[in-house]
Amino acid sequence: MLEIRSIRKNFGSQTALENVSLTIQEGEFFSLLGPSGCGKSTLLRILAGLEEASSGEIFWKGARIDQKPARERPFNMVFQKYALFPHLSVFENVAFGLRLKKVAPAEIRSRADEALALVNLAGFEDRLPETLSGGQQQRVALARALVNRPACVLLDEPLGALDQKLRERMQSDLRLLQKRLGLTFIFVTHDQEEAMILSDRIAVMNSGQLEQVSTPRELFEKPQSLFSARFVGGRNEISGVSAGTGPAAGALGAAMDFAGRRLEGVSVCRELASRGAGAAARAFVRPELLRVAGSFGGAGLVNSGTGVIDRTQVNTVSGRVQAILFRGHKSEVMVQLASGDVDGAAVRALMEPEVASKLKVGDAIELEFASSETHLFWAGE
Amino acid sequence: MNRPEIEGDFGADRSTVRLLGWAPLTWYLLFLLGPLALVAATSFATRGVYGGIQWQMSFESFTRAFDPLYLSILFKSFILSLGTTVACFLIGFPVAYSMATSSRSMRNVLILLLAIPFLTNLVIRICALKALTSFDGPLASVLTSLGVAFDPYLLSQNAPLVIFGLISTYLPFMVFPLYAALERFDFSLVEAAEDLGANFLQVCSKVVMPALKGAMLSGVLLVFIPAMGEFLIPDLLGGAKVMLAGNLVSEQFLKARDWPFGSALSFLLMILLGLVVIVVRRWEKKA
Repeated sequence: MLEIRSIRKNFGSQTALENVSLTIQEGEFFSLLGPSGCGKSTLLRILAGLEEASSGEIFWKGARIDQKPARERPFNMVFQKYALFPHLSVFENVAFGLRLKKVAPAEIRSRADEALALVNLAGFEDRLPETLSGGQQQRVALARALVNRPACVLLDEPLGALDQKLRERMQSDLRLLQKRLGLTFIFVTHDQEEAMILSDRIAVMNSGQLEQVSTPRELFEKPQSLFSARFVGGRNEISGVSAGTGPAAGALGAAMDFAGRRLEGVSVCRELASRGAGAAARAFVRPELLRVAGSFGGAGLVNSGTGVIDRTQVNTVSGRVQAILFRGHKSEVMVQLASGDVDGAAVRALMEPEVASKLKVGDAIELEFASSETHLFWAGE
Repeated sequence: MNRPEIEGDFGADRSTVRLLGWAPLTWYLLFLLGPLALVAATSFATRGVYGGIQWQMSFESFTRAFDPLYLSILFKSFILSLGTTVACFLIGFPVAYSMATSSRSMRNVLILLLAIPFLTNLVIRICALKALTSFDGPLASVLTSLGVAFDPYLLSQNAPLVIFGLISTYLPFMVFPLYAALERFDFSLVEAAEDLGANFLQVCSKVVMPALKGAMLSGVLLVFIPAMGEFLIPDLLGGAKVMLAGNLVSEQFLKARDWPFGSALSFLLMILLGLVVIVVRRWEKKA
């Protein structure tokens, strides 16, 4: 178990990390997700020992490690641009760590061969890194880390430099490898989709702080802040005025007024609760959860006991169809809302192509979405 | 790494381009190899009674060059140049390192500072150093006013001052190639090595040095070769006390007026330096 306790990091007057505490389980694929400059790479480098925290402690299996230099930590890193030694062959790159540890030559040979076979690079031993493709270099870097049998592999946007197709292959390879070896992977990425696919748990980071730590599914369905809601998956935001929180604001505990309608939803946002009715609020809903009014039949809204749709659990908004975009198995309908101040000018609804084909640009349309899947946040200053 | 291939013609056919190449080559052959041939020829001639050259075949200049007196001067020069080269590396490496790792704006300032000495002629710089350290110069008066007891004649005209002059003159020739290599150096390699268990010395020997080898050898040759032939610095800063190979050669031409012997000495020096270059290049390929 890796425990990170109140890590803080300042670069001069800049705060890169602020009071970050995390616990990562052994064998977990854990992602640090956030935009560039959010501190995710800094946190990884502090774990590796390449950067020193300004304050805070790190424990691995109960032993404090943050004061140890990088070379004494049981972690190995896969660098963003691979950082392969250009003057050494693929084999010598992989063997580098073992040679430093004075492992017997025969064992170095067998372990390096094993590691190279693991990443499908058997036969490349004598090549120099510069003669390999990006994906192959990436795998050498991975083998160079894995060969040391680290307790924890730290990966700093390792797939960032690869093209889309290769990236997708490497993602599944990486996940399979991690599960097979049962190693702890800590993975830094700014790509939410990548984090969702790979991770057991994700920590969303924003300007040096943790926004949310949860499983990918929880992150998608129950975003705890506007930031993590925005960062993960497609989004629609409707700006309105808070109608308060608590039991008075409806069954789900939060409501917002928009264009003369009341939108109910769930809120975990502390600011929204503390500012009360009248504060600027934002309703957040995923495009795939919007439906044309009356077309609802999904299990999500059917009252499980009676089989009848409970109208009080549905929010509705109205507007005009602005554009219909065909996206294969789904169509995206862009709707300009009738009134009110809308972020991004229109909401997007992903729906079945048959439903969308009945619509024309300019049609008046009523959209509905489940209150339980509507998240309300404070809109900020 | 792939080198970009030059393709197509440049609006001129190959023979024209080749012709253009011949011009500088002819110049080079005429004015570099020509004089060298003259030196070679002179080294086998005989010194005239009043200092001229008599074109009479003789090996006397060469046999004289192997006199222990001259060999010891050559040996001393070799040791001094080697010392200068090592000192330039020891001082130059941290300088180049801090330059390459500083911010872009700071880097330009540092490059400028390093280039400033080149704005002044070498003779003037060395004369300034000589004036600074002379027995009645500013350094002596400062020490006197501070009440430090010293022998004013010990400040100037000595071997340590010559070494100082050599190091300060040739330091940039070591720093620039090292800096150029360090600027291209990927410092994440250092982190990768540390992460894999390397300590400071292992990082230097296994990662940094292999990447800098070419630059290091360039720096070594750029410092060692001119230092070996240096006569101005030992002359001005060492007075009569420090006689190096360069001085020995220049004295034969300017003072002793023994041109054949001077030619023979410079030829031997050239051969020695040629051997050094060959050895260094061999080592570069092997390591």
